[in-house]
Amino acid sequence: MKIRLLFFAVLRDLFQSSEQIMEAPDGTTVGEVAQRVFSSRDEAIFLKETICFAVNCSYVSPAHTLRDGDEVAFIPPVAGG
Amino acid sequence: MFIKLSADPIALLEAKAAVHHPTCGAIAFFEGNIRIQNDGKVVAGLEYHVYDAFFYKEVQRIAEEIDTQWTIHEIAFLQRVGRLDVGESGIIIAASSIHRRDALQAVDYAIEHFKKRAPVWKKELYRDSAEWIVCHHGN
Repeated sequence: MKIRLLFFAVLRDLFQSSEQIMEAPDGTTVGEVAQRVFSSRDEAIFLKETICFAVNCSYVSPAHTLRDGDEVAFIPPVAGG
Repeated sequence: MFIKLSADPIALLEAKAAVHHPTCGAIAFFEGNIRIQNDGKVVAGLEYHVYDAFFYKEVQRIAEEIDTQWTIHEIAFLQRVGRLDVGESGIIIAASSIHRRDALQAVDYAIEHFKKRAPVWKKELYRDSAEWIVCHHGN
């Protein structure tokens, strides 16, 4: 299946990208996607524990199972207000 | 509910107009402004970054939660995006109700949850550098 990854704020700066498309096997979880993303980015590993996830504009846990076409946003600590 | 992202300055009067109603005796506001100093650093300005689609949905969820807890006529969220100077408003929340308590409590709940959940990030700009501001997650 194909999923769309979105990066914001400090992650966008670190990855020098706002989005990417990833091919993943059926049954892949958000946590597994994050593992793949962060394993290729040593410089961002210190951020891994601070990241939340949203799928199709709803917060989800790392155990959330993805479906084809899902949009997965990596949400660094928010700072609105 | 009234939810707006704006690259232009936001104003209390716009928020008031969005929630005002003749049946309401109270309007409560929260306005967040850019401070000139933060953590001992002199701030030159600030950049707000927002995940637009998620922003509208999450703020709508907050407004719906408020609807289940208080008797509000209307609630408005105005959020700036892009570059702001010191003294400008970054966020305005307004709520109207028949009596003051509902509006005050609704605005308090709104800003508490907004700060923890709305997908908004800010980069603080200093004279020779810039830094992403870290608050905390609350989801």
